[in-house]
Amino acid sequence: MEFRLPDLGEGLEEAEVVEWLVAEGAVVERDQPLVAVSTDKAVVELPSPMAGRVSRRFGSAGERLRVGDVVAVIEELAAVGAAAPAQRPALRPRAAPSVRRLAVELGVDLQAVVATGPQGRILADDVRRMANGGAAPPPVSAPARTRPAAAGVGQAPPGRHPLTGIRRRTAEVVASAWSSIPHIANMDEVDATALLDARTRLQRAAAEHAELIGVMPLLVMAVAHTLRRFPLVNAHLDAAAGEVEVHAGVHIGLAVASADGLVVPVVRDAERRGLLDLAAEVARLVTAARSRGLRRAELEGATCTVTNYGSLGAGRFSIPIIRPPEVAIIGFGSIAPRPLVVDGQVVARPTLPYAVTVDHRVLDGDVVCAFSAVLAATLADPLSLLLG
Amino acid sequence: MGRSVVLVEREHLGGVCLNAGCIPSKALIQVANAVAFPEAAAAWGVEADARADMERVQAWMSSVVGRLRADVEGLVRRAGVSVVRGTARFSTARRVVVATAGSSQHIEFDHAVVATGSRPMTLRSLAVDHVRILDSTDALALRTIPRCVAVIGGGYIGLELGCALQKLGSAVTVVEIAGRLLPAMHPALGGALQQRLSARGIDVLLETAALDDDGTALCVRGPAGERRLAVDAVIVAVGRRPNTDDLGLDRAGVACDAAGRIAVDPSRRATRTVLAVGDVTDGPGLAHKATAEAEVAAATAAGRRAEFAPACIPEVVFTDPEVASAGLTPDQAREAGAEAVTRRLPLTASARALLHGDGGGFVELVAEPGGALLGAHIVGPDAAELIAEAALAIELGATLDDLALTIHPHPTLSESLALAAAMS
Ligand SMILES: Cc1cc2nc3c(=O)[nH]c(=O)nc-3n(C[C@H](O)[C@H](O)[C@H](O)COP(=O)(O)OP(=O)(O)OC[C@H]3O[C@@H](n4cnc5c(N)ncnc54)[C@H](O)[C@@H]3O)c2cc1C
Repeated sequence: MEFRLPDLGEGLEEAEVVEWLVAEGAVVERDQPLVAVSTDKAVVELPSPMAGRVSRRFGSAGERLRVGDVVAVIEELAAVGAAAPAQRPALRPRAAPSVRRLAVELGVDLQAVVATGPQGRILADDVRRMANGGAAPPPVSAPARTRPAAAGVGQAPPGRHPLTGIRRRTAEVVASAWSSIPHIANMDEVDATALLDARTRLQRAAAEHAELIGVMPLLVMAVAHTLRRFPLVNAHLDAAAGEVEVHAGVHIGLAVASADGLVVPVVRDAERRGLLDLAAEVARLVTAARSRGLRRAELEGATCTVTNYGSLGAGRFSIPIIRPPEVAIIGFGSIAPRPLVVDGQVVARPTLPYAVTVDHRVLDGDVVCAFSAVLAATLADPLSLLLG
Repeated sequence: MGRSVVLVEREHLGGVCLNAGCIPSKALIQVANAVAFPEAAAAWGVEADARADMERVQAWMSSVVGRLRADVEGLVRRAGVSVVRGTARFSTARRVVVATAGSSQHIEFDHAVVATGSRPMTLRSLAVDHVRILDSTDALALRTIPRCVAVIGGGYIGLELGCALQKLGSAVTVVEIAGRLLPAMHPALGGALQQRLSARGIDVLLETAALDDDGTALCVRGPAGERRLAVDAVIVAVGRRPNTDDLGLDRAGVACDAAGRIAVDPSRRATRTVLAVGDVTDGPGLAHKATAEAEVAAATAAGRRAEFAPACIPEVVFTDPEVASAGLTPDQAREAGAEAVTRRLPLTASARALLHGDGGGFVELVAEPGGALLGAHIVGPDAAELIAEAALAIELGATLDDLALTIHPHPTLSESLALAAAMS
């Protein structure tokens, strides 16, 4: 994106570049100071509006910039990676040229737009919606929040049935994961009263999107939030090379049971999304997963996975299997009233069981426990998500 | 867009495309096709004779170019652009100096767009003398057709010229250093084209380097060793080099890569004040690419947000048969992370193509597993016209099914796109 000289207030129209605080090509965090500029009143450091790489800087020390002038071009890291090596062709979101031009004009990142067109095409209205007030999601049919055990589950006539397609792939992946990864798990449950309350209040606050705001987006948000605090859990293990690759972005795989078998679409940059955006993306991915509408790119690049087996109607604890090269998976059981000790009294409270499984080759029990504690605290008090 | 614009041109408005590229070359190719037509039509029982009077051909080509140039001059004038004749050089990031015979003037700017194009690359051992050793511009201006011609370079410019000259009566040898013709394109295209060219009698020497010329013969070295080709003319078409070396770009703070190309961002900015489009930047050296980039540069300079990010840039080669491509090859699709599916339809399946004679061509479509079209590659009659439909389909994210379900008129060449899409 282009970072333009913002309105510095007090009717100032110009600023002079004092010095650049980052090099061209540097990778910056969101809010990291990029450049110091002086106005008639003061020297101000301008923070980066997003995390990414500074692909261009404009203006050297002493040069005057006007409000609205482009100061720097910052590219999302994912985009940089795709574009960098010798102009590799990249697969793009599906949108007609006129829609893409509109997106550029409105400063909308197509990757972040929820498509409502046929076969996942992004329409002009989708771009406009995104431009007006962010991620207001379209009427995607929200996935059923809890699916009672589907009639077909576990059914088959007597006889031999070949493992095909996703079933076969799952068989290979889990067998190799289970036999090569030493899993260790930690399980507990948290009081979900505040979580359910938060969901209800958010649904009321955004009444037109109420159906999208289930517990799932909040769970994903809490996991993303916790992963940011434990980068080593948001990592891939390259066992052959003997290396752990820690990822900057948090891309969360969502285990979805579809009629074809287990499908794991990926919510990209989960840690950077607002709740409505996240909820819309979760809804879209789940719907697409169940209707075989996912593109391959949407199934790749998870840095950690969440499996909400509680949404299948029952279940408290489980040991989810890690999806290599990831090093952790977080499972959630069903929220139900259960006995809990509060202030020395046993009371009935809705509780949310969770299980954190990690790859012991990379992570030890201390990390699992610390991670679980932060996750549990976040879930018990979702307001803490606001702390960022 | 409300900006005041000065256009600096040292030669003719219209650039290479109009004066020494696309337009004259297509004119010459049209003449060559007319001359070759009786031979093709003889197979259908038509008897005719055709002969090109090159003096009159050149006069006609000049008049076409002259008329188009006048049109461009009119357009520029009506748009309120002031034209300054002379050679421009940057002196700072805000100023160019324009040198005209005997005088010079400064122009201050908020934004400058560099669109200085490219010139033919040369070979050290084969200096172009414009008499026997020719560049593409010389070849387009021939007033007599040489009996024997060697074309050095099997890229699109060399092949177009070679094909045209062969039809006009030359014995043509193409010398290409790579292992196939059209080395920059989908590998199957060059192979199919080579078969057809050989069948027409054009000699193609691959993995062969031109060494030098003694005034009567061109010496080349290939897999079978050195060889002398007795020819009357040698056309050097070994690629083009951006006109960026003599522009004072360093004074404007603009850097070039080793090949002389200016690096730009998607808004076509090289620096905050300097933008660049066309042959001086990365990408295929084609006029329609330059024009599309220029639209973006103009919008950027006018303070609007714009990016050059097409899904594809069609590439066309006006040989016989024609060759055209848009979008990704299967290899590129795989590199981009798509498990590409391909559908290749031989043009013998098209009745209309058969009427044109046995072209040995094909249509190949490359798509995502979900069907979205990623690329199209065609060898065959009118491929350059057909590719536009594929480009539109790629831009709109159409699937193979969309192409197959769109009713195409029968009997046409365009049907072959739908037929290829419908293959399973
Ligand atoms: C034989 C041939 C056939 C071709 N056929 C096709 C085709 O069929 N289809 C297609 O799409 N493309 C074709 N091309 C390519 C096409 O001509 C170029 O891609 C296109 O012209 C590039 O446009 P441009 O604006 O970048 O540069 P140009 O068209 O090269 O224009 C640059 C202009 O800048 C002027 N100039 C340069 N330096 C200075 C300076 N310092 N000061 C002032 N003026 C300067 C030049 O005189 C020139 O007029 C062909 C090229 C050749 C040689």
